Amino acid sequence: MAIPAKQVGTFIPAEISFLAENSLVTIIPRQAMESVGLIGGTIPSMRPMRRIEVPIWVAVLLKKQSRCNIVPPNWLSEENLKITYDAEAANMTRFSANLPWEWVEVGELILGSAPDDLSSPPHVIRNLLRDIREVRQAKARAGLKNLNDSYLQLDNVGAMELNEIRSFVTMAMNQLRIMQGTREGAERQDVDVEPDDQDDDDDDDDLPRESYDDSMLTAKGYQDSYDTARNSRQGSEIGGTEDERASINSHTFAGVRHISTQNRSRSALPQAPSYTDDDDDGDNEDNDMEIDAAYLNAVNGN
Amino acid sequence: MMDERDLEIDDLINDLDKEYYSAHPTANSSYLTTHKSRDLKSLVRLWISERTCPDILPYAHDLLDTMLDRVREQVEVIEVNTTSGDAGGGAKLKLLFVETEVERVKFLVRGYLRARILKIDKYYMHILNNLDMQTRLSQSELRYAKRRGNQLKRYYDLRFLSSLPPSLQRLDDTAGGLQMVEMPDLNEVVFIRVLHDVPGEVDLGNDDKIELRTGNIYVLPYKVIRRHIDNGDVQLV
Repeated sequence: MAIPAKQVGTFIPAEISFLAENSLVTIIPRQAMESVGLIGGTIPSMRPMRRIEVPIWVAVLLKKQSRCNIVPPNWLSEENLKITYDAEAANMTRFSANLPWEWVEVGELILGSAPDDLSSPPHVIRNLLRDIREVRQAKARAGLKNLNDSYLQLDNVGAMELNEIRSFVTMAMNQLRIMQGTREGAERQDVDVEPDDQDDDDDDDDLPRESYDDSMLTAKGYQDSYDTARNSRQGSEIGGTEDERASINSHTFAGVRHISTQNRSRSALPQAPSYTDDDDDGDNEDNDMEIDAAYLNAVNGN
Repeated sequence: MMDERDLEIDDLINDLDKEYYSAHPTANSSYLTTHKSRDLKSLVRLWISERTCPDILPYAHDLLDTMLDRVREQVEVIEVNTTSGDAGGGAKLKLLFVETEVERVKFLVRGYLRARILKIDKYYMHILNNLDMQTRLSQSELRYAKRRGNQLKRYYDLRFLSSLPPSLQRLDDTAGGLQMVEMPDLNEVVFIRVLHDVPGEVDLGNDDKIELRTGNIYVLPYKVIRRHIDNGDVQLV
């Protein structure tokens, strides 16, 4: 009996939450209990008012029976969440490192089971968490424009956030990779038989990776990297490569860094004399919109 | 007969208690990081890896045996405590934790095995043709793959293959450059997290190179990062 289809290639949110329940949290017991030997550790003996660390699932069980208070982690205080929100909003090109890996799940679990143990009113914390989540989701979506068939970097993304984009990213990257494979095969044949300048131009339409589309730009840095990339494409191969690497490296977008192989390898290919912006942008805009629509469907559909 | 059994269980529990108390003096104030919590963490990782990896990973005989043994021990603890009848309020609460945890561990084990069955169902033909794949399965998994192969073959023969020309009856044909046998695609991308800095760069095979620094999260093809997953530099997430 294999796992059900909805769990193939991804985790369901309940499973991500289940994993987060294994992480430790500090509690203040209200009553004494002897230590309990478990398979994955030992719950230490409890004495009233004496802080101990236990897995969250243990804390939640105890809390449900009013046998303990949960000490919320530091990052979950109103003050720290405000700092985090500001940090997230200040840099739209990467995720802040202020939050732990399982922040979404742990936040939910503690808000759900121990709202009275928070130092601020629960709705304040809840709103802050939601704001942070929305800012970060916007970044993740914007970052999807940079999808390519090579790799994607998502530093400081949370477990739940990662799982939300998992299906889409996996599917898109695998498809791009297949397309890239066929394309390289076709290119090799074309070059062998008859080098065709026009060919280079056409290729740009295939992939949304080159989404350097003016209308979609939201960050200044993005514009810069676009310009440099375009210039370098017309420059010499070596110079262009280095400029490009430097510029794209220094302008990361939504925590997603991506060095386009295409740009670099393309500079070695024959260039089309009539290489125009309109041509390039028009087609890529379509691609971007398709990707966004597909992503929204994937997210909303679940 | 009865006495003998009771004695054994008492011994068992005494041993367990001794083990717990000697390893963790009661004065201790945290959920201890012992070999036990390490094992549970390994089981969690194993489950995540099997779910996210395109290939079938080697079956974790030792860990599974250990965990299943401990589940059995805990189930005995539950049985003894519920039948002995001296359960006061405190004992009931303790049992609640033991029972909950047993279910949590069973969930992980089940999820792990079912994730493997998914892949065995899909790639059974490749497994049966490939000795390396077979060594990665447990005995019962291999038996399952063989039985599945035989049954499907018999079924297809009966339904339609027997009425086709003999040259078209094979299920593992490779003629015409097309491979009939489905096998894991190691180029599929996986999500990984870097556990500690790795010197040098990883070549992605198409002029792209990346560095692995602690905490980095990447999405990249399984094939290029496989070596680092196997030696524990990075983990699947």
